[in-house]
Amino acid sequence: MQSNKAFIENLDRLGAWGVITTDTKLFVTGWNRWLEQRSGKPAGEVLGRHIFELYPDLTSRGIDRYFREALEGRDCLLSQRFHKFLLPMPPSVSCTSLMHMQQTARLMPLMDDETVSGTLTLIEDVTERIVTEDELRKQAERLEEAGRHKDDFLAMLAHELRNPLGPIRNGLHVLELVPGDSTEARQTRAMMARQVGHMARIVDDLLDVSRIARGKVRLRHEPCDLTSIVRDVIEDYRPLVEKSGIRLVIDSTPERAIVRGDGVRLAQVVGNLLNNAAKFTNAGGEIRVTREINRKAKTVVVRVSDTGIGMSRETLSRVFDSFAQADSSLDRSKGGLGLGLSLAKGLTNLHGGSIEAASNGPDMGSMFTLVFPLSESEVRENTTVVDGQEPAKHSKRVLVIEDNPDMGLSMQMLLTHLGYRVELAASGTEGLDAARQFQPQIVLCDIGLPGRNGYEVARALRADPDTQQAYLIAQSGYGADDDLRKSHDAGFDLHLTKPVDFTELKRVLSAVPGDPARR
Amino acid sequence: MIISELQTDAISELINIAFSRSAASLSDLTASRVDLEVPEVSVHPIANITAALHRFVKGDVATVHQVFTGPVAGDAFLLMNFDGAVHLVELLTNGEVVSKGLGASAREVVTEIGNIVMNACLGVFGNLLHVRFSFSVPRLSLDDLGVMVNSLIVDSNPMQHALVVGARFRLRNSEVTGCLVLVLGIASFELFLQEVEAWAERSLRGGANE
Repeated sequence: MQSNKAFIENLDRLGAWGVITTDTKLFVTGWNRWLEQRSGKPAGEVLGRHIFELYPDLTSRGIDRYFREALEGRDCLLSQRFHKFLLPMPPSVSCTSLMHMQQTARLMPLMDDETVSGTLTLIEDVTERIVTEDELRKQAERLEEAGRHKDDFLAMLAHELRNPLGPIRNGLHVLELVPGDSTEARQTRAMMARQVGHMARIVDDLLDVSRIARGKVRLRHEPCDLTSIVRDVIEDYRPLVEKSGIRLVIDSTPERAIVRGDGVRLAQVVGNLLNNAAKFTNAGGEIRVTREINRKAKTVVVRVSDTGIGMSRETLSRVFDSFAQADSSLDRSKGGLGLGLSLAKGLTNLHGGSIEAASNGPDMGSMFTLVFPLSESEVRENTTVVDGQEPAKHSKRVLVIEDNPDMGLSMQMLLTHLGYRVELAASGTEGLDAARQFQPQIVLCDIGLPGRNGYEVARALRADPDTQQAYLIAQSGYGADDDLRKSHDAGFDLHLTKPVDFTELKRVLSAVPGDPARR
Repeated sequence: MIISELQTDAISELINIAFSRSAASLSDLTASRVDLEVPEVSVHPIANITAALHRFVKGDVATVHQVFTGPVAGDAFLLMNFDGAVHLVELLTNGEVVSKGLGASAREVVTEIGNIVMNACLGVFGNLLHVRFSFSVPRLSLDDLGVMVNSLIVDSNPMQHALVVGARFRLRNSEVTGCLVLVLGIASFELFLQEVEAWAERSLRGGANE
């Protein structure tokens, strides 16, 4: 026993191992300090007792055979993954999922010359490693799942982008065959416009999701009347919804609800909720939009509820995920990328608001609740604010600087048709000359211009007292963050990515006050 | 060294006994059925072992090595293709171990598998030969087969021979093939074969047991 004690003390110096020795009848002859500390059993309490009496579960867990093998002269390794632990001891690392310290053990014969004189067990604490490995495994599973969702999403995206191409291509052929002013031509153009709009919306949604995910969305922070935004969005969607045989009801007082934010983006949030409700409500159903002001809580609440197909608990838990919806067969049957709700959540959060989804289950309808903080000053004063929706038509001068003649001409025609006074310039230099002469309130400027590019034009306009007050809108085929930053740095008020959504452009132009001295 | 058909059959039978014990141990550990089969047994001079091993493993291999000493002394190896070892760990741990690169836990699992198989084989041989082997702690190495074989040849006496036993693990509708190699000196090998043949003859007379 004395020599065994010295042996154990020597092993103790080797490092962080638990060391047990037994005689050939498996009575414990050695129990090191490491084990005393971890197991809470002092050596005096353990020495001389049978190992299976001390730890009866060694037999019930089938580990007794390893002791027998050691007594027969064989070394045995007990891996953590197969056995978890040899002796039950508290975990060394705080981890809710583990009740015991995770161990790897080696059992071997204790040799006295050529004779087996007992067993030697070495126990290694591998808890930290196991916790790390398990975390890595979970992370790998999460990444794999995310990758799978993205693959599904890309497949769906390709499908969604290809869908409108067929009708557009057919439309082009039709337009070659029929007179330009015929009913067929008008119908075809309308159809092509719808399809292009659909594609543009997909691309815009994608870009928005990406920007929100990276925290790169720039919002205007100006007073907006949520009441009028909700009312306008409802009116925009009413034809679409009612055409599907769904009743659209608004339940709101005309009282203004002023929030600070970006009117266009707030409209997008409400529009996405309405679009979602319309998608999942069958003919004969109802969509109800309510707007409540809670002056005490200084919030405005918008609810979009429907009598549609509702959601299971599982669908509800991932309803705002960007890519998780890709596998929803239901969503697929209705088309679209399923990004609308994710965007609505991202944009709502960026406004300091919250969004919640609720449903009593499948076929029980759904309800989405938006809560936005009321603007402090507006809460105080309850003053009126510019709605920003109604254009001051027939009064604004717009300079279009665009080197692509077709693009420039069509933009000039469209804006003129809307009642703006429009001048067209085909280069940066020409644009600057025209600006000095024409004194536009709004300049719509391409970036890739010959001679002086759009950034140089913007800097020059800002530097000239005669033109520095103009509202400058950059138009570019590039919409990355870096492009937006460059436009902003050059002095542009807004950066629109081509092809420019005409509805959005109309909204932006109408929101620019006619008085150049506004700035 | 050429072994007779009788010796080959007898060794196969003994290995079968050992493998069924190993399979039972693995089944107990994993709580799912594991089978371990012996596709073939052959003996080769150590210098010519590469071709024999190529029938079972190629490229990067995971090798569990145990030295055994006693009246019959030598080295025992369990070899598996690296990918096979990874797959076997996944199967045996039900995907619980992140093993794409055979991390620490996966290496321990492979080592324990080798330990179980080799202990069972040497235990059966020990009973047959009525001797007690001493075993070293099992060690795992991950190397190219060529590197592993070179180290084996360089470290060995040229007179040594290798008993090469195919080992096919079957579980969960999958299989992983590797091989068990026992490298023995000429004296040990002759003693081993002599005892094997005696066991076979006893067995044929109907009086043999392990």
